[in-house]
Amino acid sequence: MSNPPLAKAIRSDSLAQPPQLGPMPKRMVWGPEHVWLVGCTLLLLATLGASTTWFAEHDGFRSEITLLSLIAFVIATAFVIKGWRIDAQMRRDMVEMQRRYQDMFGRAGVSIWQEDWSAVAEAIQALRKNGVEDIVGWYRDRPDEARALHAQVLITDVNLHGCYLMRADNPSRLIGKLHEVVPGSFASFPRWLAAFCSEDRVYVGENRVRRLDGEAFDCYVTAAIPSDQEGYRQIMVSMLEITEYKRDAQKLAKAQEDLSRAQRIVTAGTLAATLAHEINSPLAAVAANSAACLRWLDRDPPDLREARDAAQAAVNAIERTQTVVAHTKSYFTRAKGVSSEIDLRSLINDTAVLFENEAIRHGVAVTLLVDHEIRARCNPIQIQQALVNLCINSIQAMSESGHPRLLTIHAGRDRKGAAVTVTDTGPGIPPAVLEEIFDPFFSTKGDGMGLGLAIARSCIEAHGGWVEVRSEVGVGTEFKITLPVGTP
Amino acid sequence: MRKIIAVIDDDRAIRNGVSSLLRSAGLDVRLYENAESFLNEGVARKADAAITDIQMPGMSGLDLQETLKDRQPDLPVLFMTAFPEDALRQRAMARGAVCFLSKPFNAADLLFWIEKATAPAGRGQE
Repeated sequence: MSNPPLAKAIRSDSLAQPPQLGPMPKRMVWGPEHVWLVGCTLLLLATLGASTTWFAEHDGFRSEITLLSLIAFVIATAFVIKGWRIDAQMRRDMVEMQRRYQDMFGRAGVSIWQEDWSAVAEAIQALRKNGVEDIVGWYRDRPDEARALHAQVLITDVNLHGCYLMRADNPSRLIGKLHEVVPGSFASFPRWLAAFCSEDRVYVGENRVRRLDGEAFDCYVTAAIPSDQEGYRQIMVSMLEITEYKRDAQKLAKAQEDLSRAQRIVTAGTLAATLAHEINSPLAAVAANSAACLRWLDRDPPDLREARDAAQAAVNAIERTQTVVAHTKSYFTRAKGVSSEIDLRSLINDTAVLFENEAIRHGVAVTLLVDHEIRARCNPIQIQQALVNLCINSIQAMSESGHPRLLTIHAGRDRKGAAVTVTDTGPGIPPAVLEEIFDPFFSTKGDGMGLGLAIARSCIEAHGGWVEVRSEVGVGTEFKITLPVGTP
Repeated sequence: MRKIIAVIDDDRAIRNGVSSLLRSAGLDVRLYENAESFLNEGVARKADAAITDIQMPGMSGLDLQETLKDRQPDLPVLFMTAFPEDALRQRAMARGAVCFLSKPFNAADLLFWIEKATAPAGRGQE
């Protein structure tokens, strides 16, 4: 299961006030450079004035002009001194600011990475100039170019906490090309592209990262996206480790799964006991009457009237057994509950959460391929139950598989109705048992009850739909659910 | 004199089936649909053995066994049930039941135990 509570908490914190990292507005400030300039110009003019008058021949003006030049000289010197002071103050402020920045960056309790994404920003701008609108889609279709572009992303600095998180003894071990330092980082590249192209100017994602010592951890990654091209040279990316949290969430989900499994077994056990009683009682009558019938016939002379009565009683008892079975079946058919018009896409998305943990535990990658809305009229609980059972069956089938464990769920419409296929890369089902897999209590697992696929099929058939299975040993298995459109 | 067997079960099909089977073996059979009606009449009739269901409306087969222990300690009691739980079986056998049969049971088994319970040597084996 993913971690919506944490994700939500962080998201709401960071998004409550969207960071505005636009360019600083240019204000007119009398900076030291202006004071310096004025001071130096005046000094130059004063010196020039004083020296020219000194050597000039016009005697009468000499003393007045010399005086004026001296005054100008004093004012200019005052300007220069003032400028020098302002400059010194600015330098001190600068040092202080730098120190504080270093403090914040270096000793913050979150890991912060300074990354240079300018190459990506330039590439996006170039594509936009050429009229490409769907940047993410453009790169999805050109994976080689996407990789080449991603390889240009640089890590330019990492703070102390970042080094600790990555188990690096100093930042220099982490400075370099992103795809070399964090080998799995390409997986989130499309997400970054989407963030660069979107309006909300925030990147939020979850990643699995490998530390330098090889240990993998889960982290929550956020970054504010700059609005000007220059800002892309220094994107501050923060990373929060959530491994423990995820582990706890998985443990909880496993406990819940075990509990509901136990409940299912108890329910099935109670049901089985009730059914056994309902069927065994008439069977006892059948057994007693048949035996009695034979004994009446074996008598000398045979008592045909008694034999006939016993045989008739046995037939009646058999009919009663059949009624019990028929009632049980119709009970489950009737129990299909409330139907409503639903969107299969969101149903599948919701369902995926239910077996996500099972998939993680067995190292199975799940892909959902449902592009558009698919409306169908059904009881969502039952269809979800059927889907979960099929998917868990496929996931467990792959648990010992050597090749990549992939579970793909595809939904679409065809001539016959809405179709959902569940494909796995498990060991496949031998043709000899392919017919039996939907039979109740058929199981190849030591601890299985063998009801998963049987329940899945009865849920689908209760909707007038059907389940087909195709399998190739060594390649995988595909289950296809078809729900006729407009079923009640 | 023919032995009299009391059959106590709320399921009519089973009562009649067991009745036919026992009669075919030359036994006399009395049928009761609950423990109470048997107790009201059976003690006076002096049945030679009682075969009873366990789960019945009103008095259960095990309660009947308890009651019979006071009133008629020599009467052999046989059980037949569709809920053959170990706890029930142990309780019944500890109190001296002749046998504890699961429905559906083998006709030959029932006749064997009836024979054993009503044979002179089988009496009072509690």
